[in-house]
Amino acid sequence: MNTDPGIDGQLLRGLLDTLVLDVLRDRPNYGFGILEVLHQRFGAEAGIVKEATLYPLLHRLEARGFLLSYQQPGDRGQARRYYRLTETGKDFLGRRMAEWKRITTLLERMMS
Amino acid sequence: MRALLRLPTPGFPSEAATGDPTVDGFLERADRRLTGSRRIRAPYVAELSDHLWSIRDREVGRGLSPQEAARFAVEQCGDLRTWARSQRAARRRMFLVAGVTACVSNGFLLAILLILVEVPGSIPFWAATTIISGVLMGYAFGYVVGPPGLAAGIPASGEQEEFLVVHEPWVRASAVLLMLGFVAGGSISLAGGVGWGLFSDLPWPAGAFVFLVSIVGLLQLGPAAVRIRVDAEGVEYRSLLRTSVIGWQQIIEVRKEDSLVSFIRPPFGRKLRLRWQPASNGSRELFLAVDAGMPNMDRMVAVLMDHAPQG
Repeated sequence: MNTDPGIDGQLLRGLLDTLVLDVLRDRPNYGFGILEVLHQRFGAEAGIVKEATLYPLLHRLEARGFLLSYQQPGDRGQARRYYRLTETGKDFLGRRMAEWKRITTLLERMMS
Repeated sequence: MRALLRLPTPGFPSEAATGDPTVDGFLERADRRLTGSRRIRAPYVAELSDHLWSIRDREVGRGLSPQEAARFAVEQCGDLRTWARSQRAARRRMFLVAGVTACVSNGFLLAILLILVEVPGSIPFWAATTIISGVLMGYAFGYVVGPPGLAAGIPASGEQEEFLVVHEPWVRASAVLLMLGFVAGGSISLAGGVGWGLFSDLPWPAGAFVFLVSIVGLLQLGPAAVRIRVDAEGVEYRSLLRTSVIGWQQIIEVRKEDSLVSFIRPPFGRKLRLRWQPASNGSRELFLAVDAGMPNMDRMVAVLMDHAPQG
């Protein structure tokens, strides 16, 4: 039985889009690559995002115009779908980061 | 319901197959959970296939046997229900919208027929026929049309035929006039239906229906016949009378304009200013009211904004 309480689902949902958009800020990436970067940053065991959550999230962010997808041949020559951040996505990410900074400041004050 | 939403289409998209029985078996199960035609399901399955194969490659590199690595990849991907749910939710909306639209259109035609000619049979019979045929038409439409926001890359391939419906001011004016005509006609029909003025021998439900649909039509205004398509080369602009191709390098500015319609999204959605340099000297400007009914609106606007210099 998994006894790790993990992060509260509601909290995580609000944070995930920011985390994923932030991964794409530097360069376009594909689903697996995004997951690897998240694992490197936060550790795979943190269970920040699972495959079943990541792809619906990417599709939703694309539908909202924050991401653009395009296809490029992958390692095996198969079509691989890359995502990149749009200008709208950059604006959104900037706003979200500012919000999170304010929340963090509030939390820090509360904790201290 | 799931089975109903997805007609049996032979086989799962073979281009996604990897040759590994464990991975391919998982892909087939995933494919069975999706709705829509093969063309619609293919990008989802291909993306999942690429993901599974990437995990498998990584684990083989770490020392697992190919079979163990494939099993690990499948376990890692876990719950297919969550993965498939988002695709089905997006498509369910398409089925519903298409079905309701088809029902209303059929009803409108039927009401016109009831007004103009004597239609044999009772109104309940025709109403039932309308609903059944509307549902079937909606189903057929929803089955072949892709879900919002899941088309393949627009700028990279240039193969994807994807349009953004926009309204030029003059087209919008014509549409308003046309729909006002409909409302006037609908009002006369309604008045006739309740026994006043012209057409006073009409059945009143028919008049009421025409009136109602006219009002709905006025609010929606329908997609006017101006469409733009964006790809790697630029913007192809098609109106009723002409088609222009505007290369990305010709575009001077694309800007979102704030206006009242930005707040009252339906039916116009967003207003865009598109300024470009034609072959002759000077510059041309288009004000485009982007149709909010388009599922790809946000994404296409983002493509435009992303490619063109900002004002």
